Parts: sequence; structure tokens; C-alpha cells
Amino acid sequence: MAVRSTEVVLIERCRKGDLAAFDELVGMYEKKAYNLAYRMTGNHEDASDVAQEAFLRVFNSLGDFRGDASFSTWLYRIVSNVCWDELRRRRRHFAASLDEPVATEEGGYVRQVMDHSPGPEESLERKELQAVVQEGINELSPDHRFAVILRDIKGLSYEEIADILDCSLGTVKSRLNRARNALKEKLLAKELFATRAVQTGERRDGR
Amino acid sequence: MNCDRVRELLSEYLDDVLAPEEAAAMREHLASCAGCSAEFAALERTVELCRALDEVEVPAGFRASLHGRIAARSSRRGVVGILGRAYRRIPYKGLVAAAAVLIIAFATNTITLNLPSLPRMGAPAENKQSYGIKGEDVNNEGLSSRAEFSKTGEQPPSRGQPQIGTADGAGSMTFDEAVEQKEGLMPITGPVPGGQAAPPPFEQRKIIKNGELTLEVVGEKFDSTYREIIAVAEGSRGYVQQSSTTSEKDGAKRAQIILRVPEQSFGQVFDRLMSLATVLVNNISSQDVSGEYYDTRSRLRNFEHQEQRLLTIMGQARTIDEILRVEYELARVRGEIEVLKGRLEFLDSVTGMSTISVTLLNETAPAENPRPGILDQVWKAFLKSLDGLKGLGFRILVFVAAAAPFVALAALAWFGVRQFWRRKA
Repeated sequence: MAVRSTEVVLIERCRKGDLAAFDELVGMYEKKAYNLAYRMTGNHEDASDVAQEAFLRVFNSLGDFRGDASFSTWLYRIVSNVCWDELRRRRRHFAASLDEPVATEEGGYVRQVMDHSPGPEESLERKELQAVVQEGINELSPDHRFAVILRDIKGLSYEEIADILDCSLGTVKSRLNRARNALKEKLLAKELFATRAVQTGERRDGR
Repeated sequence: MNCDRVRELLSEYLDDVLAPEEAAAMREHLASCAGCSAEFAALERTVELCRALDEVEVPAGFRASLHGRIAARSSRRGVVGILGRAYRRIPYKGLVAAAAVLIIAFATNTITLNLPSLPRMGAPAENKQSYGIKGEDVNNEGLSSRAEFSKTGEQPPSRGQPQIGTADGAGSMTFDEAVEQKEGLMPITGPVPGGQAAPPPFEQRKIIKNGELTLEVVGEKFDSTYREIIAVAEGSRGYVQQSSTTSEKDGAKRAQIILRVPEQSFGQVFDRLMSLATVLVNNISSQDVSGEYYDTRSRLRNFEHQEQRLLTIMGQARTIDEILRVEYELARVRGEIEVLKGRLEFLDSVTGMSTISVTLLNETAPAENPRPGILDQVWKAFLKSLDGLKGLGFRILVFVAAAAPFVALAALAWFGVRQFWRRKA
């Protein structure tokens, strides 16, 4: 509750053009926004772009924010919209789009991840595994990708997802089902379900 | 429940959002159907993998970059954003042409106003109307102060006085030309219409007034007129600053008198002088230095205030370093005060007393010069041309100087436009 009220105060100050307050607000939410953007775009460069653009929009439209939804839901919604816009823009301008699998550079990825697992060998496997999952997500259609990310990575409720994606609860349910199945197929194709094999390192040549 | 329906609901079952009876039916089916059960396990594993994804760290430069974008966006929003959106629709050629016309018009206007008015020999002798001198006197009886203008940003109430350089203190612009253009429009007597509205009795305008008269009298009246001119000046508590008389061989005489008269009686004195003889040239110019005057005064007040404060601080200074620093500041402030005081004194002296320079000529009958020698005529013609040439050169010089900024501006604009077209191409 205390967090919520500081948040409200910060938003109030932001509306009055207080940049320091906005900075604090960014500090509170940048990790969430960035992670969502990263999962949706699949690479750090686009993620930075999208998250920053999202915060810019937040900054410019804080006046439209009413307290009825939580700020984070509102922020996620904006991030999603920015991703959509970005996708649309790229489709129009470039052949390359976020739809296509984005090659995740292992190196960059490994550097970004906090590592709590025991051995370096195993942790590398872990990173590799995560990279492959991300690859699978990247290969999904945007609709499916958004659903899976919001539900299974961000852990949002169906209601929140419906709010963010601006669709009905029923749509969320069916879309999520299809999305999970699609992802399952992708991961199956990447032979990710031989889980034991992954952990013992047999899969090293597999990818 | 058939397999198709079960597979539709697998995801919801996994999330435990199904109604209890549906969930029970699912459980039942999964327990008995190997295919669906395997499917469910795979789905569970997929979700598990997603949930196991680590959070990534925000890159180091993220916030700084965001700040940069906010700054860029908000500055672009102001001007460039709007322009940027509209710029493709702007008819550039038309706009440039319009701008050019405007600049040329403005330049011509400014240049003409800047040109010195050459003496107009042969001006009609009966040209004795007033030139708004009295109107200016009315103005001087107490006008709204400079401070008030700057507060409201309004022009001072118009009193028929040419509104050049009055409100903004751009007093360097002479408006003798403007005054001359208005001649005939302004009657000599009485305040100019509009001057009746009681001006706020605040502080006076500070105006530097200069008058120039060329008078002509018949031969024998030359000396008496000369004395009268001086008497007029002295009668109004003025004085003669400089006076010189030259006599030519052919009897032509010429007196050059520079009078200083109190600014309040400038109009009366000027009128009296004009009534003394035939007026060949008259010219009044005034320069409004109110802006500079009151600015200088308030700056002076500020510095004096600062000096007082510094003196107080000086009393409290303990260390040598402190004393030295205060003293340094004090010296600087006092230097400024001296400069400002000097400027104020100067302004007071030039605005308190107006200058009238009178040239008195005696009328020489042309008949008294029978047949000047041919060489003489040639020489005179030559000198006359030379004079004209000198005047022309002078005007050209002034014109070039006045036009220079506009030329520079135009060149800049031209380069800009060329650059723009090039980039576009």
C-alpha cells in the first residue's frame, strides 16, 4: 500500500512536469518494462528502443492515466502498443521484421543474466537453454508471443492480459491456448524436451 | 468430454481457471487418455521453461539515453516538431519570395530613414508652419515612465509624435525625416489631438533635440538680426555656444551660431527664430533616450544598493582572503557606478539643453555681381559638381553601411535555401 501511494504521489508530480519524479518512476519500473520489451523483441537493441519509446509515451500521456488500472498494467499496455507499432513500421519499411527469428547473440545474453547456479558448465547450459526458449518465442506470431509472455513470463492474470491487449477474456483464453501449443511445437522442434539430455550436456551438438 | 475439447481447455486447466466441474471432467479424461496426457505434460513443460526464464538486466546506458530522448523530443515538440510535420506542404518558393519582398521593403524603409537629410536649398520661404514642436512640449510635461512601458509592454500613448524608437529605447534612429513627412499635418498651436488625456505625471521623457535653421535677411538687417538671435536665446535662459561670422569680398556675409537653450523652451525659441527672417532651411531632429536614461538610472540604483551591501559584508569579513574578495567586488561595483553616473550626467546635459544651430545669410543681389569671369564660372561649376559628388558619395557610403546587414542576411538565407535544395536533390 505504501508503494502504491508513493507511486500515486510520483505520478501526480510527473503530471506537473517534475522530471525528477518521472526519473524515480522510471527507476521503479524500468526493469519490468525492459524485460517485457526484451522478451517481445528478442534482442537488447530493440528492447532498449521500445522501452524508451514506451517511457516517452508515458511521459507525454501521464495526463491520460486514470487510477482505475494499476500503473504497471498501463505501462505494459503502452509497451505492447509500442511493440505493435514497431512491428507495423518494420513491415512497411523493411523486409526484416520482429516476426522473423532473431538470432540471439549468446555472448550478449550471457552477460546480462545474473547467475546463481553452481557450476560454470551447468550455468552455460542454462543460458543456452534460455536462449533457445527465447528463440522459440521469437518465432511465434506477435499475437501468440504477447499472450505467452504476459502470462507465462510476466505472470499476469487473464483479466490483466485482456486489459493490456484490449480484447475479451475469451479471446485471451483461446489465444493463450493456441500460443502455448505453438510454442510447444517450436520447442519440440528444437528438441528441448529431452530435459535430462540438456542438463547432462548431451545436447551440445543438438542445436 | 472428447479429446478435441480437452485440448482446447488444456491451457486453462493448467492455469486452474476452469469451473470446478469442468476441471473434474478434465482430470478424469487425462487420467484415461495417454495422448492428451502427453500433450498436457508437454504444455506444462513449455510453460515451465518460460517461467524459468531469468530476468534480464537493464543495460547501463538506458536511463541516460532515455533522458536524451526526452530532451530531444520536448525541444522538437516546440518548434521543429510542428514544422517538421508541416514542412512538406510548405510552398517554399512562394515563402522565400514573400520573405525576400518583406526584407527588401523593410531594408528600404530603414535605409531611407537612416539617410541624412541634405539641406534643401530653395525651400519655400513662407514655409513657416510648425513641425510639431509644441506637440512634443506637451509630451514633455510629464509622461508615463519608462518603467511602466516595460512592465506592460505597451506603446506609450500616441500624441501625434512619430513613434519611432520611443517605446523600446531604440533612440538612435533619428526621426527628422518622419517629422518632415508630417509637416503640414500638425498645426503649430495647441496640443496635438489626443494629448489631452492626462498623461500620468510620472517621469519625463528624455529627448535630445537638435534644430537647424538657415535664415536669410536683406543686407542691412544682417547685424541687427544677428543680435536678435542671440537675444532670443539668452532671453530664454539659453546661451551661445559658438558663433562665427565671415564676410565675402562681394559683400555676402555669413554667420554661424550654435545656441543651447533649455529643452522646455526649444519650441518657442525655434518659432521666434523663424519669425526673424526668411527661412531657407529648417530641420528638427530628436532622439528619444528615455529608455537608455531610465535603464542607466535603475542600473545605477542597483549597483549603489550592491555597494551598500558589500560595505556591510566588509564589516563582517574576518580573513584576509574574505576582505580581499569583498574589496575586489567593491572596486568593480564602484567602477560601474562611476561609468553609469558619467553616462547619466551626459544624458542630463544633452537632454536638458537643446541645440539649435543657426546659419544666417544676407541676401545679395545677383546684379551686384556683374559678369563674373569665365574662369570664375568654370571654377564655381566645378566646385558645385564636386560638392554634389561629395554628397552622392556620402549617401552611397551610408546606403552601403545601412544595407550591409540585410545583404548579409539575404546571403545567409540564399545559402540556406541552396543547401536545402541540394539536400533535397
